[in-house]
Amino acid sequence: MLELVQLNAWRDDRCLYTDLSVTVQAGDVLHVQGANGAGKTTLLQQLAGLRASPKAGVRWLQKPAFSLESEYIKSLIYLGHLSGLKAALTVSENLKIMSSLRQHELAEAQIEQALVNVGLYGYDESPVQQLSAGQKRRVALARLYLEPAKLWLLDEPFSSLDKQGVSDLEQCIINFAAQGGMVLLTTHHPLSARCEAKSLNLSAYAQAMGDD
Amino acid sequence: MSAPFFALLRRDIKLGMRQSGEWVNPLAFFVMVITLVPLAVSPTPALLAQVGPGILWIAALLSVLLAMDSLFRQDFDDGSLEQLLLIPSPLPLLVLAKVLAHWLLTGLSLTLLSPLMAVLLNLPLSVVPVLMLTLLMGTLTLSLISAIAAALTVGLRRGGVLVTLISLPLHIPVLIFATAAVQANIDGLPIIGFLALLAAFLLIALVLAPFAAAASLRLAIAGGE
Repeated sequence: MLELVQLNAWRDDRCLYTDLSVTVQAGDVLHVQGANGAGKTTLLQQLAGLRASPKAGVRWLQKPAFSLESEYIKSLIYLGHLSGLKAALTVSENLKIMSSLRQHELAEAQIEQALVNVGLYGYDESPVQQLSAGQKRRVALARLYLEPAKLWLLDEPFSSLDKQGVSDLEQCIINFAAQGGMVLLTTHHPLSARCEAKSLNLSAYAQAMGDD
Repeated sequence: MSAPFFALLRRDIKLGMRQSGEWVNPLAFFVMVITLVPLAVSPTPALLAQVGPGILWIAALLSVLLAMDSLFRQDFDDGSLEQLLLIPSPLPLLVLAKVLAHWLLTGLSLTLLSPLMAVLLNLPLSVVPVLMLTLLMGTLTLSLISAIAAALTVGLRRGGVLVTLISLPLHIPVLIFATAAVQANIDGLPIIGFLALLAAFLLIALVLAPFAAAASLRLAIAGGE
């Protein structure tokens, strides 16, 4: 269970959101919504620990998420705007290194299966720099099939995906949620009803101008 | 705990091998400066032997600086730096792996090349072991110190000059004691004091620099996009 307790974020003097308290249960898919610049990416970065958040503002399994011995970082996968892939390495090298950095060894067959899932079968030996934007996105998404996790933080995961890719990813999210996974995602693409996503609209937590 | 350290070390060496421009350029710069000095200054063997240690070390220092700017830049641009922060392993350890991989390609290859350069500058052969030892310890110290500056400026588009400005003052002690050691060795004086100081610099940098660079990287990620 992931709890957000009175989170707030500021960009210069502008308050993006304040007093944001939400509980995410196992199996929840939370669609973070808001206009451009509303702080969707900031929220995901705070949850990933990439951006400072108020002390004890993020709680995981009833404990502060960012304490020293927390299991939290091990249980989350964060996919940001940037793919995090190394252009000079091949697809399978990228995936292997990414998992071994997270202390999870992959077998060849697993990688092959994940590439089939994201529609990139046969590309395992291609250097990432030769792939198109959508294919690179698919390689990054292959991590979702490979690394064990309980929480996915996906920032615009549907960008540059084609129709088939979008529906595959939706299915993948549904399967993950059905197994008790939690997903927070931002997207401007309308999620299909089968995702049963709850909505979290950041504009509800924005401080009105001149309030203070 | 050490598994991610070696995974990252292997990754960066592999990447370096595939993008050889990253480390061949600074090395070529090192070789060029040293080969041009006799042409521009004077080919007199006695004079060269006198200024040789200084020139060798200045060229080494500048080529390390030249190479350091790119240490975190690529990782920042392609998003893998964000992913590094999400690895359940202490960030200073990962920074150390990156610096070490970078040093193996630049500092170490520069050290291995130095006997040849010493001959070009007419330095006595007896001084080569001491020269290599100072370069071995010195370039690693320089790499570690510059890593802090590279981490501080990674979020800036044009951080190259800043890396030099921030780290150069901290490089000067290394330069002074390293050249002094080589010169003392040529003059037949004891060098153990100089080497001890260089080793002390290295140990301090080895322990402190990864923490400082890791903290700077967190700042760069939080504030930069």
